[in-house]
Amino acid sequence: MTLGIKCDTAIVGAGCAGVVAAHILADHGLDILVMDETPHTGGQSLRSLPWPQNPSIFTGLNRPGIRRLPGRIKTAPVPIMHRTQVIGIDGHLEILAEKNGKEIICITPQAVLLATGARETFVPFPGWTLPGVISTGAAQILMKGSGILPADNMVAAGLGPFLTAVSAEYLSNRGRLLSIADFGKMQGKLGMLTHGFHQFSKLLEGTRYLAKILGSKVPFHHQTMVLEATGTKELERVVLARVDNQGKIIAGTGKIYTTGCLAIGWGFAPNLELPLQAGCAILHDPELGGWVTAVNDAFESSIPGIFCAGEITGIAGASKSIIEGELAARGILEKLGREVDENRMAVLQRQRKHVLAFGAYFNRLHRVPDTVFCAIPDTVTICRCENITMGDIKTAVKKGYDTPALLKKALRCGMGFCQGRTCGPVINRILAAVTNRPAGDIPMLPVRMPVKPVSVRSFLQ
Amino acid sequence: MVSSWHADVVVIGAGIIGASVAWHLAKKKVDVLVLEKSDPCSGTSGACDGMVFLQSKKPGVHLALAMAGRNRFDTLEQELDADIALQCSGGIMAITSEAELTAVNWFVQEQNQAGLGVSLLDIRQARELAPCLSPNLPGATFCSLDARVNPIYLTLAFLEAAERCGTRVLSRTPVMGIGLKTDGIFVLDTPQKTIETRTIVNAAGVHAPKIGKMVGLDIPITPRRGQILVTGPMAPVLDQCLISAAYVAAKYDPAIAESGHMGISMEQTEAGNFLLGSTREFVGFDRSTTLTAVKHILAETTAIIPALQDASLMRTFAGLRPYTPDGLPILGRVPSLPGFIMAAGHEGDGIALSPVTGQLIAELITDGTTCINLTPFCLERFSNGAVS
Repeated sequence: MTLGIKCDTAIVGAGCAGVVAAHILADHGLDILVMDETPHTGGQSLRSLPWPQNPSIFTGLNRPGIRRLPGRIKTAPVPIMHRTQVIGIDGHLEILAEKNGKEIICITPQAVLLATGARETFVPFPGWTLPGVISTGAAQILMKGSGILPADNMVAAGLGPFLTAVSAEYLSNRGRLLSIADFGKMQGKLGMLTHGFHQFSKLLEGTRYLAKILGSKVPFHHQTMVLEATGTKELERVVLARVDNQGKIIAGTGKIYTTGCLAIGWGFAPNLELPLQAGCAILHDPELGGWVTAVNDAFESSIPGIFCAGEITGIAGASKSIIEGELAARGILEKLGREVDENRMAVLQRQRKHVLAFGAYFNRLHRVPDTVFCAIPDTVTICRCENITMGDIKTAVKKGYDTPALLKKALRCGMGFCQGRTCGPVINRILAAVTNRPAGDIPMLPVRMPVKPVSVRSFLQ
Repeated sequence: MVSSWHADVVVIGAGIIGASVAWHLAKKKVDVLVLEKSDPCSGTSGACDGMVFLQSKKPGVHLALAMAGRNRFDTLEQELDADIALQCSGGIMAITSEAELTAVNWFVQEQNQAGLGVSLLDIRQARELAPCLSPNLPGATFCSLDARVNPIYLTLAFLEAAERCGTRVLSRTPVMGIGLKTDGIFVLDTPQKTIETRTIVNAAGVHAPKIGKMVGLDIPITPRRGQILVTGPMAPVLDQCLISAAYVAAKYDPAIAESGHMGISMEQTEAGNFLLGSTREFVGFDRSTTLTAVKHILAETTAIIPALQDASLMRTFAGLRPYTPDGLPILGRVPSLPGFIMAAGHEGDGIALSPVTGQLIAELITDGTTCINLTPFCLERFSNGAVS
């Protein structure tokens, strides 16, 4: 028998948005269930250490914007079901989840809040699949979550503020950084000053990271990207090269670094699998970071009763998630017939506007141009599960397989174990770039239950 | 601007049947235009397993058609110049109870009389063929002619081959209406173009009734949902495709299918994933998958192949099979409407019957006669009261 649980609101994701919402809903006497696939609370922004914390490593908690959150987590009297992977939501808001990798549970709430966060995106390059090439997020998880350095020396590359943050964290933990290759321009960082008027805490945070890096004398190259990574069995060398204003590699600028570790990150993409599986409408807006779920002012999606908050409504970081967590909670209260403090809503909406404006600036600044996707060499693997190369994709596109769904049929890309979680966003951008269409014209692959692989045994209980 | 096009034959639907019909016609230098409302292979043909199973067919016209169809697969990769992941390692029907054993015994005799070599094996012999089978099963049957393909590759290969012979394929072009002029020319309305033709092939699968309605035909095809589970890749353990004996029973007795004991089918693909299926449900055009089905299919499949307990469930999907009341496809000309040809209603046999269907319809159009008599498959069989 499948265990059935009834509750007022089920929240998927115990990150900033989910936890704030849970706290507020519980304060209003609602019966809440929070589920998170990880063993900890706080999501990607707040990774708690499983043993007494080392303050020098745990820099994330000192970020001014989210300092007040941990207190809320401790006081919120809400049950958080960890190691619980939500695998699907059906049309009647019935949620299926796998608990502890062992059993399937079925939750029937009155309302659902999806706060599933974001994951890193990347741009494939020759050698990206070599052992030793990791994501900047993975580097941070190792440092924050386990208190260990990914390697005693490394190169960091990619684009966006997270690259700066992880580089600074690595240096704070006394890692030897050989070089930072930022695809963006130095001027972009200066632009923060004018756009960060309402976001003083973020400015401070960014400045602190920059100061750390500049003080360390590590070569910090702008308009630079990874040309290739090489090594026989694992990563041995990284070649960095400069790019011009259009984002094209400038020939002859390659520089070789000998290292066994390359941390790479090109920004974030929302985890849209659950909203897509549930049938929520999505919209494409480069200022929100690409494809995001469409929500109304109460943060309800196109499916009545399913609310969305945090990174899945637009990439803008923890502050936005905290604000939206509260807004969505109030939207849910209203939906369930409770009274809502209109003044508080107005204040939150104002705060959100400022955060969004800052986020839009960041997302515009850190939008990877189409030229970068067009320039991926034909031999580079794009879909790792099914070993599909850039050349395979270009050939298929020429034959008319020009949507993600058609490419999947023709090449099997997205049919592997990751179900397109890794290559999906990349393939969408490649398709847009090589066919010269706006990224919003390329639909996302449909998603069906289970949104992540689950053990067959769980269903046999 | 809506412009007008002309084609000798318009095929409606770019699923496996439409694609095969188009290629078989194009090979004979017929000018074919394929109209597809969304994308090629986006309906039933893209949401099914790839079994070319003979053992499961009822001896009679059905089995005869399937056997003729099976022969075509041997040369298909060469003819199409494409990889369709054909694997001819035979098929196993797993018997899960003593009661089934009796029924299967009778079925196997009938099949052998009809010329299909099927052997009844005890479980020791069966496990020599497929060691992954549970030792608790009473037995199994084996037929060396059973095979499997990648249904998506095959559909796309048919279409690509047809296009190389000059066939035009218009994707994302739904047919919105069909008019008939006094000179016998059909006029098809689409958002982009108006198309004139003397011959229409209705290969729209579960949507064939909608096309039929446009010309005043009542086509008794109903969508029947089949949910299929995909496991994560596993080391190769099963060469053959496999069905349970209850599958055969469920196919011919809707009461069994609805009772939940519908039987299962499974195959391990080239990539190592298992496809586990499938339900047979009448739920309209709803393509969602359900927990009930997942649990049911996993319970039945793990009882037959215990190693599947260690697998992960990676994805589920559902396809709508074009069901007809007597389980046979609807093929051939419609007497009341010369020029309108049916090629739909294959339910779960579309992949297996696709080459022979394409061949027969092409023969019908170019020669006026077919190498297999199409009378048992005519649309009128339903209006004549032959089938209630």
